[in-house]
Amino acid sequence: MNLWQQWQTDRLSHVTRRHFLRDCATGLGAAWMASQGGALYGKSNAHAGSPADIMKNPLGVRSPHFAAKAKRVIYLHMAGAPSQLDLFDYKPELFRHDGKDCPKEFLEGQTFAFISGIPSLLAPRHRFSPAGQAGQMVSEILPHFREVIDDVCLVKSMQTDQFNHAPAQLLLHTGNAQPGHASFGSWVTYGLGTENQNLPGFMVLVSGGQNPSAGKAAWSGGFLPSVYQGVQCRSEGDPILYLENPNGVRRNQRRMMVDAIDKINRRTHEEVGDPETLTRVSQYEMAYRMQMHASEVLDLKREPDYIHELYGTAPGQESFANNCLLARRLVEQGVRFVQLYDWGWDHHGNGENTIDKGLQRKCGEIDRPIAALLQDLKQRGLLDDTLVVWGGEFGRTPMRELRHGIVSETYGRDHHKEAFTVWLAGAGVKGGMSIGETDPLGFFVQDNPVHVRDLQATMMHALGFDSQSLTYPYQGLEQKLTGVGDPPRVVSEIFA
Amino acid sequence: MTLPLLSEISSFRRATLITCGALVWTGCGREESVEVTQLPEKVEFNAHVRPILVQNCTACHGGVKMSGGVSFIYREEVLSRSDSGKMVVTPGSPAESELFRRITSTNELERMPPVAHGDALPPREIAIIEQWISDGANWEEHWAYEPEVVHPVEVPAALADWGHNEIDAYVLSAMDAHGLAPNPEEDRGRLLRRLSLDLIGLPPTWAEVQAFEADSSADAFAKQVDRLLARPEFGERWAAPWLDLARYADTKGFERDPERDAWPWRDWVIDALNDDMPFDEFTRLQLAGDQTENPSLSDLVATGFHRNTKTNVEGGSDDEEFRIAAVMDRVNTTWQAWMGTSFSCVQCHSHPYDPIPHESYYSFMAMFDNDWDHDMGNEYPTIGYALDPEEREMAFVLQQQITELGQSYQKPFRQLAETVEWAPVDFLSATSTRGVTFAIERDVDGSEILQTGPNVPKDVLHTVHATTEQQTLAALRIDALMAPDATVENPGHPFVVSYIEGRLIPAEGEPIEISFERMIPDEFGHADWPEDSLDKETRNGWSAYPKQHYNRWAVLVPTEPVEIPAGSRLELLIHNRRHHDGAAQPVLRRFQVSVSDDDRWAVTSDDSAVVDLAERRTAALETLDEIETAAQPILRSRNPEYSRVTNFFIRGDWRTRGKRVDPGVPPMFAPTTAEKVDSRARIAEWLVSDENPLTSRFTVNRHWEQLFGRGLMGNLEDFGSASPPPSHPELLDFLAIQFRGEWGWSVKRLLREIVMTATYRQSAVTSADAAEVDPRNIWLSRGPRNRLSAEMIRDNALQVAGLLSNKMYGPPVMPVQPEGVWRSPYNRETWETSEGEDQYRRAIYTFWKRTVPYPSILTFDAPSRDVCVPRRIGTNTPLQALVMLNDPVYWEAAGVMAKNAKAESGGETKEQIAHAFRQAILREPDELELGDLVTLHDQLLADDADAPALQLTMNAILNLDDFLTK
Repeated sequence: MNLWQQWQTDRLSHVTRRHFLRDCATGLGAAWMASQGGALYGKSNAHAGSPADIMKNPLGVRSPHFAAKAKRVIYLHMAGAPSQLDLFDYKPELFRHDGKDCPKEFLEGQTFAFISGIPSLLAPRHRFSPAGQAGQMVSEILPHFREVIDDVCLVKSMQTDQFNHAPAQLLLHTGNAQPGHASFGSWVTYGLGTENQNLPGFMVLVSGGQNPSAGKAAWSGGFLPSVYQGVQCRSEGDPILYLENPNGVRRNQRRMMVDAIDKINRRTHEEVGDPETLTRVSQYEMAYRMQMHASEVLDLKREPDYIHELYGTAPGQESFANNCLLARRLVEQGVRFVQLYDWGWDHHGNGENTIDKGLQRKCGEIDRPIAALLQDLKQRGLLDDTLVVWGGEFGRTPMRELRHGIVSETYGRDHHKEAFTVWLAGAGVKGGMSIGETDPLGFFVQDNPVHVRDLQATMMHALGFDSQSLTYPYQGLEQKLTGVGDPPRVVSEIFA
Repeated sequence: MTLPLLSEISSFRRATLITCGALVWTGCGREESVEVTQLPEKVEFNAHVRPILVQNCTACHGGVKMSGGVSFIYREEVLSRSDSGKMVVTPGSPAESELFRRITSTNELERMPPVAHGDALPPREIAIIEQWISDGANWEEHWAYEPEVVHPVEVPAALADWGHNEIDAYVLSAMDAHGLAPNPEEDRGRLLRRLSLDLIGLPPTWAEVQAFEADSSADAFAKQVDRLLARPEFGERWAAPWLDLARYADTKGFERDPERDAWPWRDWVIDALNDDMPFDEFTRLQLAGDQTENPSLSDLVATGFHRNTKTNVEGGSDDEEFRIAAVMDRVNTTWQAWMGTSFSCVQCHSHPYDPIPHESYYSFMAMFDNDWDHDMGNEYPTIGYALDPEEREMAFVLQQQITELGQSYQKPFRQLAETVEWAPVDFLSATSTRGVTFAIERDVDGSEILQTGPNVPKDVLHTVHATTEQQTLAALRIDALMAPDATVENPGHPFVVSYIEGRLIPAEGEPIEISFERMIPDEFGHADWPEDSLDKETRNGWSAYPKQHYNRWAVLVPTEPVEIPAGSRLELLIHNRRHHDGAAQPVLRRFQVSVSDDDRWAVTSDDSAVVDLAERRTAALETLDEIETAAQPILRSRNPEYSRVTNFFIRGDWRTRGKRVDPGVPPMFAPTTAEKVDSRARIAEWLVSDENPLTSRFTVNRHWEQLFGRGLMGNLEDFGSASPPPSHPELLDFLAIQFRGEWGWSVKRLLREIVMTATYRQSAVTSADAAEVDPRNIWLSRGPRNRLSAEMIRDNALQVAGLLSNKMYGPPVMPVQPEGVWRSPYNRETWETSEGEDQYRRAIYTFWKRTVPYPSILTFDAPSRDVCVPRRIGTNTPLQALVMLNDPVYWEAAGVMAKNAKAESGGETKEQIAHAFRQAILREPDELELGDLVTLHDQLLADDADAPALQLTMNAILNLDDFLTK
């Protein structure tokens, strides 16, 4: 086959595939649901394994739909939604209009969380300058991040449907604004299993003193079996709930006890023949190993000083820096999906929560650890197959917040669903570039819009999944992360 | 075209076996497939044809898409012409049926399913379709939408003396057909433990086991069944699955996730189950207890079922948006919890597989769209439920009185407002603050004030100046008109008049203050008392919230009629102090003002009866205030003359409204005899009517699943055509018919009939043979063996340690939970570990915070209770092992067990361990088990003389498979 023929064939299969997905989104589900043992992910791919097969070893390693670079994900979520206009989406035009009323045309049909009355436009509150070899404009309040900008791809044209925190976080992480659906990490663990059976496959790290607004629903397994729900690591007390033995109980005592339990349970199995009993025996063994292994992996004191310097970590307290380092330790040990939430990015301009000092302070907390994480992953060769994503649940308005129609003394911006920025790095993502563009005032996306569903599909693609075909049958529907609406778009231009 | 010889699939049931095996993912692998060489004797649509269509066709030719104008959902559509003008199916003639032509076409461009979607249909399936068309294309509705039918059952002669009732006959017949034979009866100790955990969620005591073992009477088992069904713990155990369906929690959900008083409803459920309230009544009261005649407190509390929806109090959330989200949740939950039907997908499009058109969703929603609740932080409407049961009725009576007094008080004024002459004022000016501008518009109806400009901030003060030709101001009327572009279908912005003041400004001299005494609106029942508009201090008052659906009016009556000096101006100050994040500010935007000089206003206002009503109302409020109550959210309908109308939402988006819909149920479910379904009360009637094919089936099935770990219909949550059919369709129908008929909707009777079967009483031992033929026990040739539910695990451990409190009812409690689990933003509520016996209450009473449920309960597969969940998917994970090994609750239980064992048995370690084993596992340990446990104990001591060896050994017992399963 010559190159031209090759190209024709590829194109044809691509077109057919797209046609198949577009016209027959529910067909895949139907195909599986009604088939007598069809593959879980529809007919069109080689990935075999019915849910029944999967549940025999729910966390066993499975291959995705197609070969892919990303083997694991670290998702850094800034809960509260950082201002893209003061960090990445540089809009010099706003300087010219600073303090002027927002044009009426922009406001028509828009609803805001807190703004009422006619708000005025607000210029960037922090200095931007070109960074990296590509000279991308980035805020100067991220000095360390500027050093690694050539490793990341900025997506400046993100859009969502929700402008309240909890529903928007749920939409981003579970594909649905109402609680009850499976989160991203759960889907990925369901699809790929996990590489280290001594650790949970989907782990969640929280900093900033509070859980994200969506609560545990943001890392819930939803309708998926509970084995896929995210497991939260804690900064105080047991690093994973109930990981440590009760006071005064030593590890060798636990060993003796688990041995005795297993011995009796094995005999129970011989007598009764319930396969769940044998599964339980192996789960106790795994729990025993997890007690040691997880404690070790989650113990930051095992890291050398230069690493602590790099990240700015101080073991023993809750911080985003610690969580970044933990994330690296976890992915290094084969955890499939590590989700970080950092609370405190809701800079309305009330109290300390300003776009000036408030945003700068939060950036100070994440800047060094994020740069360190990317460098550290790269140095260990992990960035090649680890997808790192950073972002909030929506963006912030180009207008100054006008809460209840009243101008406050400090500067803030309201929630904005029309445009925001996320960035991705690693696992074949092209660094040193940005995609998508907003209008000169940064209000609407002007070019290459990327809905949160598209981001989900793109991340799934990076992991080797066609998001329309990674499904789970529930309530008569083939549930999928990206929902049952129009098929999302894979933003393929971000990949090298 | 020639077909290969095909062998027969002899029965519907056998076809079922094949499908089920592949589709139900729990447990293990697929069933072996059956050699197929012949066509069935008679091709039936449901058994043979529909599965082929659902698998291969409906995705593109169904409810979501109708490619080429072809759909296989409705009979009429199949027996009609496609867009190309060809008959899809011509009964009797495959050759004239496009369906047959396309599936057999050798032209790749024509063949169905399309090449890109996969291979052509296998010859056998083509032959089935051909045969079906030749036979006349007889159509059947999906089995679950057809009425239940009594199917005669034949019991194999060899086993004729096995079994205790009809259920066993159905089971045995199916078992035999699969070459299986029943297990012997379980030994008594294990059987009583199973029965007790199933019926009351708690194990029996060792003494009860011994008594049962010693009871040689023929009805020994029946006596145990009846004893347990009468226990108060029955309601606590069976409430849990209903609470999952009802998405019950003790918080509102979202972000701060603050507390909510929903526990009176939870207690109502426990009582209803204990009283064996018939399921039809249980249905009626929960869906429409408020619509019964003279509803009692208990009837109102019952409607809390649908107030378990989430309330979003996150700053900046639109109350109308989340009101609608709650209403949609009620629709989805009603279909799911009563009929096992996924209705939520019909929000955005017609059902992909089942005959439910898109519009039906909104017709059904219309019946839930006219209640007063609207996502308010205070959960309005609520009913005060006194914490002290002694005061409960009194508090209820007081609340009724307050309502009645308020209505009686307003009534004469309202009548008067509609009879007197109103003279519109002439506006001189209208101004406001914070940049809000007004125009004075004049038309044939007089003049009005209209806000202009795009946006209105909160907390604005309108100042209006006007003149009137009246000489006396006996009453002032404000008409709050709908915005020019608003209609009842597209309602306008809300308003709340927080405070209103008026004065007359004579041409000369000091202004005359008007002291308003009464404020009477057109409508009774809003969250705020309208006379709050006369109170300077409050932000509440006369309102239309969170949307205005109609023109509204209110009348202000001064303490005495005010003379209007000639040439004076009327000044009104209207304060709009309430605010609303996330949507338009509640500000009066368009209004008219008029004056009445009628002297009847003063007469009415000073009437001693009116004065008395107002005073009694205030007094009743004060008395009620003395009683400590929980505010249980309830359903209450809006007044019919002010009802909302419901529109179709295009693609399920509440902001894009299509045409208006009438209330009703989907056409195929519409009752033929009863009255039209057009209200919540009628929905309840329809659900439990003889014509509803789903409610009884779904309900018996979920009870079956609780006992056997698997439903007769495996997919509890979906009785639609996309699910594999039931394993025992005849038994399912039998149970459904009996439940709603002879058994009078009695849940206790249903459970009694099931647990009395020989099927239920079988030993759970799985022979190698049975494991091979029927690994998941679909054919019930052995007794059920399942892991305990999250609640049972906790209750069971506390019970065997003697720690469990039997205190019932009341506000939720907080047992020990690790520090730092609750971290909701903007919420200072903390987990305050309960004191005394409240630490050891049954799990059903544990505080359920939606965004952070109690960790160990969640680990054992409980749902988060955000949405209706009919089935908990069981898992088996290392995190569960960690809970049982290390959670302080179980560690403490082990400690108490060790203490008890020492105190209650002899000094011998072996006897202590045996004693604890009997308490926990409820049988004598065999020598090996006891040996292993004693060895463990001795090893621990040998390793470290100070080790808590006995406690660790007890901890081991609590982790045995036999302890964790029933």
